[in-house]
Amino acid sequence: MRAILERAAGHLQELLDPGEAFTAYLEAEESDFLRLNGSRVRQAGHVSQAHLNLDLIRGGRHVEAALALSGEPDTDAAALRSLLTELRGILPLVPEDPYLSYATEAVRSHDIRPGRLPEADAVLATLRQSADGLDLVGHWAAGNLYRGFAGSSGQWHWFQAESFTFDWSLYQRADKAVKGRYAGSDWDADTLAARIAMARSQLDIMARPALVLPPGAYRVYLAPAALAEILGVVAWQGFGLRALRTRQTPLLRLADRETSLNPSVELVEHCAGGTAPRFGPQGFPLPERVPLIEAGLFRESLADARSGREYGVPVNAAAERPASLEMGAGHLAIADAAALVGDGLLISDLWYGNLSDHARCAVTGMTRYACLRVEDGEMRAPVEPMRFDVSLYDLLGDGLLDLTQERELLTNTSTYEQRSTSTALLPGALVGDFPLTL
Amino acid sequence: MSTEGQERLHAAARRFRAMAPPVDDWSLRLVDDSAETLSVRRGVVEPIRLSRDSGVMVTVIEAGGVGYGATTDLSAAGLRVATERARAWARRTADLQLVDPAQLPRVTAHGTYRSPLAKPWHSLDTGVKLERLLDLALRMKIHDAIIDWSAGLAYHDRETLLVSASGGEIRQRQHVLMPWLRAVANRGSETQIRSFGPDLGGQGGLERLDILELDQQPERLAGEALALLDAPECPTGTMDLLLMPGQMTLQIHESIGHPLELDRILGDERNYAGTSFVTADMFGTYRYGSDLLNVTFDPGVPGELASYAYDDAGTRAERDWLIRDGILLRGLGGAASQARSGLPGVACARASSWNRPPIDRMANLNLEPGDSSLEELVGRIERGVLMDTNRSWSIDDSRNKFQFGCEMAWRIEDGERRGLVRNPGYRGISSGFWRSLAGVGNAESFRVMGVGTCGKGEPNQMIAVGHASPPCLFRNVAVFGGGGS
Repeated sequence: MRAILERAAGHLQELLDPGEAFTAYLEAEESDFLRLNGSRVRQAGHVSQAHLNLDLIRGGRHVEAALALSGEPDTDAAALRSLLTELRGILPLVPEDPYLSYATEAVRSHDIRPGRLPEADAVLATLRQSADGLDLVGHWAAGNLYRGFAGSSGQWHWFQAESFTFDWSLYQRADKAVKGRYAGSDWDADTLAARIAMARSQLDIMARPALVLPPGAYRVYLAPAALAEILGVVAWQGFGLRALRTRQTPLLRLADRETSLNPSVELVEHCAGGTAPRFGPQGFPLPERVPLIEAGLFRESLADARSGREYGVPVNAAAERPASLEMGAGHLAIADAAALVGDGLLISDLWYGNLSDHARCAVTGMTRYACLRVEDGEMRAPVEPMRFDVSLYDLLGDGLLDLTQERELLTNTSTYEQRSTSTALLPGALVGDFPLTL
Repeated sequence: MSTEGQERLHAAARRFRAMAPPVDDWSLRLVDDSAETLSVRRGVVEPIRLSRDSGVMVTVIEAGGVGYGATTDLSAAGLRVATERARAWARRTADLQLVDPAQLPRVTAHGTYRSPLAKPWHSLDTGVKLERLLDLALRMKIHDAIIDWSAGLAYHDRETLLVSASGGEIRQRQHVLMPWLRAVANRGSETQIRSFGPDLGGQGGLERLDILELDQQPERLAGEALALLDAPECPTGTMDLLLMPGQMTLQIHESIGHPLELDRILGDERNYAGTSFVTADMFGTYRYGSDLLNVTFDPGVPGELASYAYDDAGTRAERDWLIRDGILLRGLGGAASQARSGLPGVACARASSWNRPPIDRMANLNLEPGDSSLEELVGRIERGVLMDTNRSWSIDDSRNKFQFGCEMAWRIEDGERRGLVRNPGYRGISSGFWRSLAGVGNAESFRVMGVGTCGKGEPNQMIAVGHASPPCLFRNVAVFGGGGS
């Protein structure tokens, strides 16, 4: 894949007319996908893809294009020539762009993250053994991910990572299931087997008759994955500079200092700590850390290249939402979660979150998987799916009792168009009054 | 999609046929997709973005297994590598297959499809289209409180070629246009948004801009966004709810479309999109809604977003009743799901592109018109609200408990609209909600719309689906407003 970008950049350099410049951002992957239902294979295959995001620039005018590259040199060279001709035909028709912004310093970087991925047969062997007799539904995605940038001024950035994600559910019956995750770059069959075994052991409690809860406010422990669902909804627009300046961020009152979160809340975009590339589509290197919320107060926004130019601030993000979100730890032990709840709920996962009231930064969504009733500090039974509707200002404000000292690295398993490189490192949260509405 | 692109697909198909592997069966699905997006924001032309994507998925059945290989490399060498990867997956998973390959449909049909197209995208040059967008956007800047205003057009021209060892060959070409306008009004910590599209995307060319009366929308949208800043919150309580087509689209999508997908009922989606409250035994007898509820799968509506002649598994697509007079008759499942479940379905095995395998999807899912005018529906409400344009959506993994929000609403009392209210929302349970359907708008109020970003599947797939509906009246719904400033 690296050779594909090198060749494309070389061709583009040769084909440039005087006064023209280009940026080229490659997104490519070689991925195995294995889809499972009932511990059997529903669909399996391999996808090899490479897409070049090209920006042809002349003075203040520019036109962007995404082009699928085959890897076959003559075919790609012809496709690039044809595309350049097309873009040159459009350039005179567009006005100068006051917010055009791309890296011009000839910086080079290489970030190669080799892994230890299994042969597909080894994954299947582990599943045959570990999931025997279980109703396992899930998805395995593995292989090399590539991101690269080349610019006509000599910039070069290369990111390459071998990684896998296995995201699965063990079903006890109907909609009663336990969620499991295993992701990383160094595969270990024993680790997967152990995680499946642990999930298997949790099925016992899911087999108990499910309770129907009346709507109301409950004391709850939100596991890191549950907290990730809420923060993911808020972060979609919450921290973007454009959303802030156009008053569309759901965190407007926090940004305006009309309110604050619990002083223990710390959120940071920690690019150096995640698995995403440390450069953006316009070639700007990204800072190691961008503090988003400190001591419960709004700090900085995420500015991509275009917003950075529009609003006159340095570029600090590839896109205006976190790719490597981290939340500061607290003081609780996850092992004590049930005892700390006492009378309430343990919630492993929340699902299908969406903003329900922008002004209050309220998020609604559903419980899913292991949502367990706790009484006298003991897990009693699963509960039927319940809808929550909670303001972040309450959840992480007066409602937040404490966070756990352990944090979980959650790898984004999204595969829309391509495998995600995003992560979130989050603690669990003990919350006083968590509103369930339906 | 250029002639060059069409030739690229056919040349690849010829190359593959010449080197077809010695397997039990194979099919080749090739996609060439050209797209262009134009947009303007706050008086500035945003970067024009073109997209040129071509690729192929090779699917083989061998030794009792099924596998696929997908690649952007359409050369003989690229096709060979993709084929070998597909064969390897077929062989290594043969003893673990969930579905007997004999149950999978074979592509035997020959046919074509082409979207209606009166004014091709390139019949207007880029500069003219940008000037029109700049004008539309500027017309939304009617007040200092309008702080963001934008307009855009997205166009897709996609050719799909499906060929098989059985001799089938299906060629389909879809032109899709999605326009949008958006006005953002703000005062203090109150921000209100009014939008037009992209749920109005459809098949065709620039003639759709006239059909949608795009030129008549900017001042109306901006005026409504401003008015919402001063409007009271939507009332809270149990009351009648009149949903306009702009919200019915989402209501149909989430609480009829997804629950009826056979692959959910068969459990394929349980790790991601979820399962369904609908079970196999309900088909043919279950009362899904009141007698007024009539829902069709209709791939033949001219201009609707997901019209086609064949699905991506090669099955001929036809209009079918899914729900008639409130009774559930048929699910949304392609030939493979029908064979697995023994349930009636439709031709809806669809893939988002060349790099994802077909799965059960909605296509055009329409709620058929009744006999009431909009004003008659309003007149039947003693106390309630009328809501329009989806803003927020959330539903449980069985597609039962939902909560939706809209951009705007009107309070209705004693059969008349009394005033605009803001931040409207409502919640309910699918299995009971449709039984409270008390009025359905007539053909005059029927609108053809769609959802451009329906997500599902592992690996994930985003696909466009069409929905058409008149306004609908529901009784005794839990309605609420925001708790903001």
